[in-house]
Amino acid sequence: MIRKDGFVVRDVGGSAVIVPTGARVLDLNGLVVLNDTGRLVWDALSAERSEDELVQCLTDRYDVSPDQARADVDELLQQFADLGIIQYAGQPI
Amino acid sequence: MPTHRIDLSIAGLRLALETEAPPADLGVDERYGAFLADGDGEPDIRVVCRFGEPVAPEGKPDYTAEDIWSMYAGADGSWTAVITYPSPDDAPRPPALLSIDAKWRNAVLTEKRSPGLWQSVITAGAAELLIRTRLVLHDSLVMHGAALQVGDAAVILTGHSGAGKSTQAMLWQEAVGARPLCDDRAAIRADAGRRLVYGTPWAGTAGIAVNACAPLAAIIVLEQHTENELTPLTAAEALPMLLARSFLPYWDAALVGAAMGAALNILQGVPVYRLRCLPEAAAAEMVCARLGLR
Repeated sequence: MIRKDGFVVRDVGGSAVIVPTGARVLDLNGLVVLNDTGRLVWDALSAERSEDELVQCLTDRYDVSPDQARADVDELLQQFADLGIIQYAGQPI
Repeated sequence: MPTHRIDLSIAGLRLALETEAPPADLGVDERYGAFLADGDGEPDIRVVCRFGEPVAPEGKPDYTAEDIWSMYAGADGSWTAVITYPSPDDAPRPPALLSIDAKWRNAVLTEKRSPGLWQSVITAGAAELLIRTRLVLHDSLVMHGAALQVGDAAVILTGHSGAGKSTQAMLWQEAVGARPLCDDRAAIRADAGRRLVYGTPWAGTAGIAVNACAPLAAIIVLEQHTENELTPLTAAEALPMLLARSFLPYWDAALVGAAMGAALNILQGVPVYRLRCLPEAAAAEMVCARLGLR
Protein backbone atom coordinates (compact mmCIF):
# COMPACT_ATOMS: atom_id res chain seq x y z
CA MET A 1 0.00 0.00 0.00
CA ILE A 2 0.96 3.65 -0.39
CA ARG A 3 -0.42 6.93 0.90
CA LYS A 4 -2.46 9.03 -1.51
CA ASP A 5 -1.01 12.33 -2.59
CA GLY A 6 -2.69 15.69 -1.97
CA PHE A 7 -2.22 15.96 1.79
CA VAL A 8 -0.22 18.53 3.75
CA VAL A 9 1.34 17.58 7.10
CA ARG A 10 2.65 19.78 9.92
CA ASP A 11 4.15 18.71 13.27
CA VAL A 12 3.07 20.25 16.54
CA GLY A 13 3.98 19.22 20.09
CA GLY A 14 4.53 15.51 19.45
CA SER A 15 1.60 15.20 17.06
CA ALA A 16 1.23 15.62 13.33
CA VAL A 17 -1.80 17.15 11.63
CA ILE A 18 -2.81 16.10 8.11
CA VAL A 19 -4.99 18.40 6.00
CA PRO A 20 -6.40 17.37 2.61
CA THR A 21 -6.11 19.57 -0.47
CA GLY A 22 -7.89 19.74 -3.83
CA ALA A 23 -10.01 16.72 -4.70
CA ARG A 24 -8.80 14.95 -1.53
CA VAL A 25 -11.13 17.17 0.48
CA LEU A 26 -13.93 14.98 -0.87
CA ASP A 27 -12.16 11.88 0.54
CA LEU A 28 -11.27 13.37 3.89
CA ASN A 29 -13.76 15.96 5.06
CA GLY A 30 -11.79 17.29 8.02
CA LEU A 31 -8.30 16.65 9.26
CA VAL A 32 -6.34 13.87 10.92
CA VAL A 33 -4.12 14.04 14.00
CA LEU A 34 -1.36 11.43 14.22
CA ASN A 35 0.83 10.40 17.14
CA ASP A 36 4.51 9.48 16.69
CA THR A 37 3.74 5.95 15.51
CA GLY A 38 1.14 7.17 13.07
CA ARG A 39 3.56 9.75 11.70
CA LEU A 40 6.27 7.11 11.26
CA VAL A 41 3.93 4.84 9.29
CA TRP A 42 2.56 7.78 7.27
CA ASP A 43 6.10 8.81 6.32
CA ALA A 44 7.00 5.23 5.38
CA LEU A 45 3.95 5.08 3.13
CA SER A 46 5.40 7.76 0.86
CA ALA A 47 6.52 4.72 -1.17
CA GLU A 48 4.78 1.41 -1.81
CA ARG A 49 5.17 -0.74 1.36
CA SER A 50 4.13 -4.18 2.46
CA GLU A 51 2.71 -4.71 5.91
CA ASP A 52 5.88 -6.58 6.87
CA GLU A 53 7.98 -3.56 5.90
CA LEU A 54 5.85 -1.27 8.06
CA VAL A 55 6.18 -3.68 11.01
CA GLN A 56 9.94 -3.58 10.47
CA CYS A 57 9.86 0.24 10.58
CA LEU A 58 8.23 0.15 14.00
CA THR A 59 10.49 -2.52 15.49
CA ASP A 60 13.56 -0.65 14.15
CA ARG A 61 12.45 2.60 15.79
CA TYR A 62 10.76 1.48 19.00
CA ASP A 63 11.42 -1.11 21.68
CA VAL A 64 8.37 -3.12 20.72
CA SER A 65 7.74 -6.80 19.97
CA PRO A 66 6.97 -7.82 16.38
CA ASP A 67 3.53 -8.98 17.48
CA GLN A 68 2.73 -5.65 19.11
CA ALA A 69 4.14 -3.75 16.12
CA ARG A 70 1.96 -5.80 13.76
CA ALA A 71 -1.11 -5.11 15.86
CA ASP A 72 -0.32 -1.38 15.82
CA VAL A 73 0.27 -1.40 12.04
CA ASP A 74 -2.97 -3.32 11.43
CA GLU A 75 -4.93 -0.82 13.50
CA LEU A 76 -3.32 2.18 11.80
CA LEU A 77 -3.83 0.80 8.30
CA GLN A 78 -7.47 0.11 9.06
CA GLN A 79 -7.89 3.70 10.26
CA PHE A 80 -6.05 5.08 7.22
CA ALA A 81 -8.17 2.94 4.90
CA ASP A 82 -11.39 4.04 6.64
CA LEU A 83 -10.29 7.66 6.23
CA GLY A 84 -9.52 7.06 2.55
CA ILE A 85 -5.98 8.40 2.78
CA ILE A 86 -4.09 5.30 1.58
CA GLN A 87 -4.55 3.01 -1.34
CA TYR A 88 -3.71 -0.62 -1.93
CA ALA A 89 -1.94 -1.94 -5.02
CA GLY A 90 -4.38 -2.14 -7.94
CA GLN A 91 -6.92 0.10 -6.23
CA PRO A 92 -8.05 3.14 -8.24
CA ILE A 93 -6.56 6.43 -7.01
CA MET B 1 -11.94 50.88 -20.01
CA PRO B 2 -12.43 51.10 -16.24
CA THR B 3 -13.46 54.61 -15.23
CA HIS B 4 -14.06 54.11 -11.52
CA ARG B 5 -11.81 52.93 -8.75
CA ILE B 6 -13.35 51.61 -5.55
CA ASP B 7 -11.03 50.78 -2.66
CA LEU B 8 -11.84 48.49 0.22
CA SER B 9 -9.75 48.21 3.37
CA ILE B 10 -10.31 44.83 5.01
CA ALA B 11 -8.09 43.37 7.73
CA GLY B 12 -5.44 45.92 6.82
CA LEU B 13 -5.33 44.89 3.15
CA ARG B 14 -6.30 47.32 0.41
CA LEU B 15 -8.36 45.87 -2.43
CA ALA B 16 -8.88 48.17 -5.42
CA LEU B 17 -11.73 47.53 -7.84
CA GLU B 18 -11.36 49.07 -11.28
CA THR B 19 -14.70 49.15 -13.03
CA GLU B 20 -16.65 50.96 -15.68
CA ALA B 21 -19.79 50.80 -13.53
CA PRO B 22 -20.62 53.42 -10.89
CA PRO B 23 -19.99 52.00 -7.40
CA ALA B 24 -23.70 51.99 -6.53
CA ASP B 25 -24.39 49.69 -9.49
CA LEU B 26 -22.13 47.01 -8.07
CA GLY B 27 -23.85 47.05 -4.67
CA VAL B 28 -20.50 47.67 -3.01
CA ASP B 29 -21.63 50.65 -0.89
CA GLU B 30 -24.42 48.68 0.65
CA ARG B 31 -22.36 45.59 1.38
CA TYR B 32 -19.02 47.10 2.34
CA GLY B 33 -19.91 50.59 3.58
CA ALA B 34 -17.70 50.58 6.68
CA PHE B 35 -14.84 49.06 4.71
CA LEU B 36 -14.66 51.60 1.86
CA ALA B 37 -11.39 53.51 1.76
CA ASP B 38 -10.08 56.47 -0.19
CA GLY B 39 -8.52 55.53 -3.49
CA ASP B 40 -5.02 56.92 -3.21
CA GLY B 41 -3.00 54.07 -1.73
CA GLU B 42 -1.09 51.30 -3.47
CA PRO B 43 -3.43 48.30 -3.49
CA ASP B 44 -2.47 44.89 -2.13
CA ILE B 45 -4.97 43.35 -4.52
CA ARG B 46 -6.10 44.91 -7.81
CA VAL B 47 -9.29 43.64 -9.43
CA VAL B 48 -10.28 44.69 -12.92
CA CYS B 49 -14.04 44.20 -13.29
CA ARG B 50 -15.26 43.40 -16.78
CA PHE B 51 -18.77 42.88 -18.03
CA GLY B 52 -19.22 40.16 -20.59
CA GLU B 53 -20.00 36.54 -21.10
CA PRO B 54 -17.81 34.45 -18.81
CA VAL B 55 -16.25 31.39 -20.44
CA ALA B 56 -15.48 28.73 -17.85
CA PRO B 57 -12.31 26.65 -18.19
CA GLU B 58 -12.76 23.23 -19.72
CA GLY B 59 -12.38 20.03 -17.78
CA LYS B 60 -12.87 19.07 -14.19
CA PRO B 61 -12.19 21.64 -11.46
CA ASP B 62 -9.33 21.04 -9.05
CA TYR B 63 -11.54 21.93 -6.11
CA THR B 64 -15.21 22.68 -5.56
CA ALA B 65 -16.65 24.42 -2.51
CA GLU B 66 -20.23 23.32 -1.91
CA ASP B 67 -21.38 24.12 -5.45
CA ILE B 68 -20.77 27.83 -4.78
CA TRP B 69 -17.43 28.14 -6.49
CA SER B 70 -14.91 25.90 -8.21
CA MET B 71 -11.18 26.41 -8.68
CA TYR B 72 -9.24 25.57 -11.82
CA ALA B 73 -5.43 25.56 -11.74
CA GLY B 74 -3.57 27.46 -14.44
CA ALA B 75 -0.27 26.39 -15.91
CA ASP B 76 1.71 29.21 -14.28
CA GLY B 77 0.46 28.99 -10.71
CA SER B 78 -2.56 31.14 -11.50
CA TRP B 79 -6.10 30.15 -10.59
CA THR B 80 -9.53 30.66 -12.07
CA ALA B 81 -12.56 30.60 -9.78
CA VAL B 82 -15.97 29.95 -11.30
CA ILE B 83 -18.42 31.55 -8.88
CA THR B 84 -22.12 30.75 -8.88
CA TYR B 85 -23.56 32.60 -5.91
CA PRO B 86 -27.32 33.12 -5.97
CA SER B 87 -28.49 36.62 -6.75
CA PRO B 88 -30.28 38.74 -4.10
CA ASP B 89 -33.68 38.08 -5.69
CA ASP B 90 -32.94 34.35 -6.10
CA ALA B 91 -33.14 34.72 -9.87
CA PRO B 92 -30.84 32.40 -11.81
CA ARG B 93 -27.51 34.07 -12.43
CA PRO B 94 -24.80 32.95 -14.83
CA PRO B 95 -21.50 32.07 -13.21
CA ALA B 96 -18.84 34.72 -12.86
CA LEU B 97 -15.16 34.15 -13.56
CA LEU B 98 -12.39 35.37 -11.29
CA SER B 99 -8.88 34.93 -12.72
CA ILE B 100 -6.10 35.39 -10.18
CA ASP B 101 -2.34 35.48 -10.59
CA ALA B 102 -0.05 33.18 -8.58
CA LYS B 103 0.72 35.85 -5.97
CA TRP B 104 -2.93 36.81 -5.45
CA ARG B 105 -2.12 40.42 -6.32
CA ASN B 106 -3.95 40.90 -9.61
CA ALA B 107 -7.33 39.56 -10.59
CA VAL B 108 -9.81 39.98 -13.42
CA LEU B 109 -13.48 39.50 -12.67
CA THR B 110 -15.72 38.77 -15.64
CA GLU B 111 -19.43 38.69 -15.03
CA LYS B 112 -22.64 39.33 -16.89
CA ARG B 113 -24.93 42.04 -15.60
CA SER B 114 -28.44 40.79 -15.12
CA PRO B 115 -31.68 42.75 -15.00
CA GLY B 116 -33.40 43.15 -11.65
CA LEU B 117 -31.70 43.18 -8.29
CA TRP B 118 -28.24 42.64 -9.68
CA GLN B 119 -25.16 42.83 -7.49
CA SER B 120 -21.62 42.07 -8.48
CA VAL B 121 -20.19 38.84 -7.04
CA ILE B 122 -17.48 41.06 -5.61
CA THR B 123 -20.06 41.65 -2.87
CA ALA B 124 -20.95 37.97 -2.57
CA GLY B 125 -17.82 36.00 -2.04
CA ALA B 126 -15.28 37.14 -4.62
CA ALA B 127 -13.73 39.81 -2.38
CA GLU B 128 -13.74 37.44 0.57
CA LEU B 129 -12.00 34.76 -1.46
CA LEU B 130 -9.32 37.24 -2.55
CA ILE B 131 -8.76 38.80 0.87
CA ARG B 132 -8.68 35.67 2.94
CA THR B 133 -6.34 33.91 0.51
CA ARG B 134 -4.00 36.88 0.28
CA LEU B 135 -3.97 37.05 4.10
CA VAL B 136 -2.50 33.55 4.19
CA LEU B 137 0.49 34.92 2.26
CA HIS B 138 0.85 37.49 5.07
CA ASP B 139 1.12 34.80 7.77
CA SER B 140 -2.51 35.46 8.68
CA LEU B 141 -5.87 33.64 8.75
CA VAL B 142 -9.61 34.21 8.72
CA MET B 143 -11.49 32.00 11.17
CA HIS B 144 -15.06 31.36 12.26
CA GLY B 145 -15.68 33.21 15.47
CA ALA B 146 -16.97 36.35 17.17
CA ALA B 147 -14.31 38.92 18.03
CA LEU B 148 -14.90 41.05 21.12
CA GLN B 149 -12.76 43.93 22.30
CA VAL B 150 -12.37 44.39 26.05
CA GLY B 151 -10.30 47.44 26.93
CA ASP B 152 -7.20 47.51 24.74
CA ALA B 153 -7.27 43.84 23.74
CA ALA B 154 -9.69 41.39 22.15
CA VAL B 155 -10.67 37.74 22.26
CA ILE B 156 -12.20 35.46 19.67
CA LEU B 157 -15.05 33.24 20.83
CA THR B 158 -15.39 30.18 18.67
CA GLY B 159 -16.97 26.74 18.89
CA HIS B 160 -19.23 24.33 17.15
CA SER B 161 -22.63 25.49 15.99
CA GLY B 162 -24.84 25.61 19.08
CA ALA B 163 -21.94 26.02 21.51
CA GLY B 164 -23.32 29.37 22.67
CA LYS B 165 -21.17 31.80 20.69
CA SER B 166 -23.96 34.34 20.08
CA THR B 167 -25.27 34.07 23.64
CA GLN B 168 -21.82 34.53 25.15
CA ALA B 169 -21.08 37.45 22.81
CA MET B 170 -24.17 39.25 24.12
CA LEU B 171 -23.32 38.40 27.72
CA TRP B 172 -19.79 39.76 27.27
CA GLN B 173 -21.22 43.05 26.05
CA GLU B 174 -23.54 43.32 29.05
CA ALA B 175 -21.23 41.96 31.74
CA VAL B 176 -17.84 43.41 30.88
CA GLY B 177 -18.69 46.11 28.35
CA ALA B 178 -17.13 44.25 25.44
CA ARG B 179 -17.24 45.89 22.02
CA PRO B 180 -18.11 43.42 19.26
CA LEU B 181 -15.90 43.61 16.14
CA CYS B 182 -17.60 40.81 14.21
CA ASP B 183 -20.03 38.00 14.92
CA ASP B 184 -18.98 35.33 12.43
CA ARG B 185 -15.60 35.71 10.71
CA ALA B 186 -12.54 37.23 12.34
CA ALA B 187 -9.23 37.95 10.62
CA ILE B 188 -6.06 37.30 12.61
CA ARG B 189 -3.10 39.25 11.24
CA ALA B 190 0.58 39.12 12.04
CA ASP B 191 1.81 42.58 13.00
CA ALA B 192 5.42 43.15 14.13
CA GLY B 193 5.57 39.99 16.21
CA ARG B 194 2.10 40.28 17.69
CA ARG B 195 -1.33 39.23 16.41
CA LEU B 196 -4.16 41.61 15.70
CA VAL B 197 -7.77 40.57 15.28
CA TYR B 198 -9.86 42.51 12.76
CA GLY B 199 -13.57 42.68 12.27
CA THR B 200 -14.55 41.71 8.70
CA PRO B 201 -17.53 42.61 6.47
CA TRP B 202 -18.67 38.98 6.43
CA ALA B 203 -21.17 39.19 9.26
CA GLY B 204 -23.34 36.47 10.72
CA THR B 205 -26.92 36.62 11.91
CA ALA B 206 -26.25 39.50 14.31
CA GLY B 207 -24.97 41.59 11.37
CA ILE B 208 -21.88 42.85 13.22
CA ALA B 209 -19.07 44.01 10.93
CA VAL B 210 -16.83 46.67 12.44
CA ASN B 211 -13.77 47.92 10.57
CA ALA B 212 -11.42 47.99 13.56
CA CYS B 213 -8.76 45.84 15.17
CA ALA B 214 -7.19 45.11 18.55
CA PRO B 215 -4.32 42.94 19.83
CA LEU B 216 -5.55 39.36 20.17
CA ALA B 217 -5.30 38.26 23.82
CA ALA B 218 -6.79 34.77 23.48
CA ILE B 219 -8.88 32.41 21.41
CA ILE B 220 -11.65 30.79 23.45
CA VAL B 221 -13.34 27.58 22.38
CA LEU B 222 -16.82 27.43 23.86
CA GLU B 223 -18.66 24.37 25.12
CA GLN B 224 -21.91 24.36 27.01
CA HIS B 225 -21.57 22.91 30.51
CA THR B 226 -23.13 22.89 33.96
CA GLU B 227 -20.44 25.09 35.51
CA ASN B 228 -17.80 27.56 34.34
CA GLU B 229 -14.31 26.19 33.68
CA LEU B 230 -11.45 27.78 31.74
CA THR B 231 -8.71 25.35 30.67
CA PRO B 232 -5.62 26.22 28.59
CA LEU B 233 -5.06 24.00 25.54
CA THR B 234 -1.67 22.78 24.39
CA ALA B 235 -0.54 23.69 20.87
CA ALA B 236 -1.16 20.07 19.83
CA GLU B 237 -4.73 20.34 21.10
CA ALA B 238 -5.28 23.82 19.71
CA LEU B 239 -3.92 23.38 16.16
CA PRO B 240 -6.60 20.98 14.89
CA MET B 241 -9.25 23.18 16.50
CA LEU B 242 -7.87 26.32 14.88
CA LEU B 243 -7.50 24.71 11.45
CA ALA B 244 -10.98 23.19 11.58
CA ARG B 245 -12.45 26.64 12.23
CA SER B 246 -10.34 28.52 9.69
CA PHE B 247 -11.00 29.15 6.02
CA LEU B 248 -8.23 27.16 4.39
CA PRO B 249 -7.27 27.48 0.69
CA TYR B 250 -7.86 23.78 0.10
CA TRP B 251 -7.39 24.06 -3.66
CA ASP B 252 -3.64 24.76 -3.39
CA ALA B 253 -1.30 22.53 -1.34
CA ALA B 254 1.33 25.27 -1.05
CA LEU B 255 -1.26 27.72 0.28
CA VAL B 256 -2.58 25.12 2.73
CA GLY B 257 1.00 24.68 3.95
CA ALA B 258 1.30 28.44 4.39
CA ALA B 259 -2.02 28.54 6.27
CA MET B 260 -0.89 25.75 8.59
CA GLY B 261 2.33 27.70 9.20
CA ALA B 262 0.28 30.80 10.00
CA ALA B 263 -1.82 28.80 12.46
CA LEU B 264 1.30 27.46 14.18
CA ASN B 265 2.72 30.96 14.42
CA ILE B 266 -0.54 32.26 15.91
CA LEU B 267 -0.37 29.53 18.55
CA GLN B 268 3.15 30.61 19.53
CA GLY B 269 1.89 34.01 20.62
CA VAL B 270 -1.81 33.62 21.39
CA PRO B 271 -3.10 31.31 24.13
CA VAL B 272 -6.09 29.11 23.34
CA TYR B 273 -8.53 28.10 26.09
CA ARG B 274 -11.49 25.78 26.31
CA LEU B 275 -14.32 27.55 28.13
CA ARG B 276 -16.96 25.15 29.40
CA CYS B 277 -19.67 27.42 30.67
CA LEU B 278 -23.22 28.26 31.52
CA PRO B 279 -25.04 31.01 29.59
CA GLU B 280 -24.44 33.55 32.35
CA ALA B 281 -22.49 36.76 32.90
CA ALA B 282 -20.27 35.10 35.50
CA ALA B 283 -18.50 33.16 32.73
CA ALA B 284 -17.43 36.37 30.97
CA GLU B 285 -16.39 37.96 34.27
CA MET B 286 -14.34 34.90 35.22
CA VAL B 287 -12.51 34.83 31.85
CA CYS B 288 -11.73 38.55 31.91
CA ALA B 289 -10.39 38.27 35.46
CA ARG B 290 -8.22 35.29 34.54
CA LEU B 291 -6.86 36.96 31.40
CA GLY B 292 -6.46 40.38 33.01
CA LEU B 293 -8.83 42.03 30.51
CA ARG B 294 -10.28 45.34 31.64
